[in-house]
Amino acid sequence: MTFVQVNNATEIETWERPLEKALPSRIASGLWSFARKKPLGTLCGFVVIFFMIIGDLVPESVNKISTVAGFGKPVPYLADQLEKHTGFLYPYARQNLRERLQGSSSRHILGTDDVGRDVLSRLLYGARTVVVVSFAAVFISELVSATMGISAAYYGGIVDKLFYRVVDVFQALPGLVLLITILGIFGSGLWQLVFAIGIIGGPPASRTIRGQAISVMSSPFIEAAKVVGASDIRVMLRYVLPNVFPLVILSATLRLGIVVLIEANLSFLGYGLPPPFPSWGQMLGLEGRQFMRTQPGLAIYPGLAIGLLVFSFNIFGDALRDVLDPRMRGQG
Amino acid sequence: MQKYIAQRILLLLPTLLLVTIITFVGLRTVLPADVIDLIVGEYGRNDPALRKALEEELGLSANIPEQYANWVGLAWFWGGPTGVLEGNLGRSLHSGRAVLDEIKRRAPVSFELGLWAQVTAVAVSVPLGVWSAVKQDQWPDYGLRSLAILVNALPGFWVAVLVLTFGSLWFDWAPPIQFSYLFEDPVAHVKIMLTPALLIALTPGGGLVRLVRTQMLDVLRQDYIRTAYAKGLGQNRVLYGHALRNALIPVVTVIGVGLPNIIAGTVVFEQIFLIPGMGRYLIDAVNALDYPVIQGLNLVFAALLMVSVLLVDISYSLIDPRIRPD
Repeated sequence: MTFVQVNNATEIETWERPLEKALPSRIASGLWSFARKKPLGTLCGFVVIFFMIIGDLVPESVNKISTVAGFGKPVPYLADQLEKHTGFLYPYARQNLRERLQGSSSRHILGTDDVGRDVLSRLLYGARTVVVVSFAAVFISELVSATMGISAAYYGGIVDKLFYRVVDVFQALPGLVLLITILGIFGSGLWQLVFAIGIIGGPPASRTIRGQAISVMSSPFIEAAKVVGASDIRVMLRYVLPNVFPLVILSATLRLGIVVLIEANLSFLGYGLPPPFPSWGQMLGLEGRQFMRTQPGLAIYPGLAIGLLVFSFNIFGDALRDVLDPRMRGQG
Repeated sequence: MQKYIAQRILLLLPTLLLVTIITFVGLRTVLPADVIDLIVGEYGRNDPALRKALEEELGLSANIPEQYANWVGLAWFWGGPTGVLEGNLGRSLHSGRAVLDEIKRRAPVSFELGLWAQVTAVAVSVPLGVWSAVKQDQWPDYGLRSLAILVNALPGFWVAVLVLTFGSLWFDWAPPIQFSYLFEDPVAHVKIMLTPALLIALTPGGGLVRLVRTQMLDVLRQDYIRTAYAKGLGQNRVLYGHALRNALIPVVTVIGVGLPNIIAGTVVFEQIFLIPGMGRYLIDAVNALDYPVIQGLNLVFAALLMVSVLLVDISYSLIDPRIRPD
């Protein structure tokens, strides 16, 4: 008995050595093997990164945080820089009634809309709405669902039962109906969109995380941590969270595409960001329908942009799931 | 089984209670002032007496718990007005019509639209999924899978916009503007409902094709399928009699989980195709801050969804006798 244990211990030690490589090289080799296994997923990952860049995700979030915290100079937006230094982009709200409803030309690559605004420029700025709303909303969803899932699994009993009821309620609420209600009444805006979509998506996603967290809770190292006297918060953050984190990332990636579609639906119905700031769904909206007959590009390009982004999110998410969680391979 | 169903129905009650509390408190804490402003604005003068009278008339003068008790109909037990429990969802602030009557008039339309969409999605995508699985890694499989993934990524309303734009450009086709009910003019009714129902079916259909395919592939590798072939059953008999039934359980789950999508689809498409269902009622009510209507509709939508999920759960044991819920 003793012998076997000693033997196991040495075996495990030699086994774990190779994993002790530096973090950057581990990440690099992980990415490389992902790219080799999932070429299409990788391509879609690059498309997502492309949209993140032209959607100014980083400048927008840095600026939003620094205005809330009240410090710093604003980070310049890529879209503004492009507009300044290239000839074919214009401010998103600049109207030019002499050039309304044009087809594509060298001045307006994708043509103009019914008040003469440049479609390509509006697509570029619309990317910011979509990307910022989807990433921020999914971040909130995952924050809520990880908190709920882990604490339900950790405390069990009454907390668990209560959270389960909450999850039930949120699953019973038809998402779009509720979102229309909330945004129609509170008025829409960036923060309202982000928080409404984010919070509604959170509780239902906590189910899988709870399941995984429960199985983690039964492992010996949790007991060991408790015996040593770690606080509840510390056990949850240090020991449970890292073990369910791949699941959190996974559900976030798979949710991004859904949130883009939700945002598009809402702005199509007129509950997205208020004009003049463009969003893709609103560009397809009902008021513009009569003009789409004269300039069909108005009906095509925004939809293509939405479709491409959602497609990339979905394929990238599927690829990530195949790699991270082989049990779920090929489902859905 | 009866015990399970009874249990589930009992569990619906606290959930519904929570839904009513959330919608009511959520709406009431922000709304009343705004709504009165809106109505006073219509009269064109800011008169405190009118404001007071309106508050009294609309039942907004009481505090929130009292208002809630009135709305739910708890107050009826100690002599108050009737409420939700007694089948009274209140009256619209603007038209003055009873919300329940309006819902009764509009619900069949939305329900029909959703049902058509769901039936089309299942009827088309289940055979396609089976076909895709049978032809695994041949061109029908590749074609169907790519199509399904593509359809999943496209927003339904965009497809509708394309159909409307290019339908009118190329074929001079446009959906009828005047709505006609099923019993008044069946032909015109079908003409109106067909396009939106097909378009709503696209999104869930794409997901279903992929799911049926993976489930069928799983089942087709089982021993009892080989046995069925070995004892001389024909291809169709094996596929539809033995394999599909076993592959359907997760599919039923997905149909249940996909119901909110169908509801969302009806809301969006009623708006596009001018169909007077519950979705349009909701959007009109939200734009007019007509809160009795908003509360009533949210409650009805939630109840509808919960009952459908329950039905889906119960249908498991009909499809698979091995599942005994207890």
